[in-house]
Amino acid sequence: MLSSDYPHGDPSSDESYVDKLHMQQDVPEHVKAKLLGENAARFYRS
Amino acid sequence: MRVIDADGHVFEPEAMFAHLEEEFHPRRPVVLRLPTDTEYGDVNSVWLIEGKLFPKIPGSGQTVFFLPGSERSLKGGATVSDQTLEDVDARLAGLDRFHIDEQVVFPTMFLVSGIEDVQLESALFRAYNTYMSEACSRTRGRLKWAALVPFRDPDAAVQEVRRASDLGAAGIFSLGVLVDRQLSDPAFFSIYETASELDLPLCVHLGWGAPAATQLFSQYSFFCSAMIPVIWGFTFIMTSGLLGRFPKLRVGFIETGAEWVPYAINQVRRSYQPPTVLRDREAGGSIAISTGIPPSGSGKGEPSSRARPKKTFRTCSATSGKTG
Repeated sequence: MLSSDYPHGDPSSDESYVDKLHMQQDVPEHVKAKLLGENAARFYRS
Repeated sequence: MRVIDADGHVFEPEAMFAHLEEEFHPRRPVVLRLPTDTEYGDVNSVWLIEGKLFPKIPGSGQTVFFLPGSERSLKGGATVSDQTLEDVDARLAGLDRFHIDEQVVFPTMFLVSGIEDVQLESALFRAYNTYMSEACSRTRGRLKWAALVPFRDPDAAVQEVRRASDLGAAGIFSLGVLVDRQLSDPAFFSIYETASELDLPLCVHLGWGAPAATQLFSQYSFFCSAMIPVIWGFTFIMTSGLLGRFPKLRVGFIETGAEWVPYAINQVRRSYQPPTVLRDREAGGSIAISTGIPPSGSGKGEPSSRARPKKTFRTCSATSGKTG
């Protein structure tokens, strides 16, 4: 799972993580999908 | 692709504690504003609770978080009403800017365990859950929250897990250590059983949960006394047979990165005898790790070593067998 920590703005924060991951060409699309949402959807109760 | 931010935050407003039962009203947290030329610098607001101030910036026992509207909090770019979720549309606009569809929200002031009276803590947690439920209900499902429950009073905690479930919580918040008890303490089993029954995951989040450890540090406390306890929580969960006892329980480790996972797994394997889920393939449960994308990555070359998503995924997947 990935996260922004918004709006804390502390050392854990990265509010542009979605765009950064989309630009990473060495990460397969299906892995990006898991990291960006599928894993969190399975973990948290909807 | 639905993008879910696994860890955002609310800066608790004083208005949250309007939800307190009347008997606790005189003991509600109150904000004190400070000049900006003290040792607190631009962290120029503190909570007064039980005669103590939170956060504690100078000296041993350091804790670091901000109050809404403090000079430091405003440097993050979010308005006060966005920080507090009093204007949820402002938060949703922020998520739109970051291309995030949904966000799971965690607390700020309650990242510190400092309240002595369990009854007061329970009341504050009920107020938090009520406030968060109401705020999230105005977001068409885009904001969710992890509920606070009073682990130190397990019967009350079970009751609050059930109430939070009815209110629509997405998970149950915990720190890596609960004052002086590890997460594997049998006193908490009824809480885990209820969370499992209601399909609510346990979210072990960064925070100052162990006052004795917090007291050791006057600097680097964000790492030393807030992040490290999450690894303690991981260790005791993975070595206690907890996930075998509660096979439907999902446990996540939030806002602590993921680089430590291989190290911790290796140490657990070397140091402990069964029962551990690492050695028992039949054990149930699953774990998840929430991390961040390395800010130094250019997006075109190699990701930095701070948090390689591909490696993170493999590590978690190999560990849990379920959640990457």
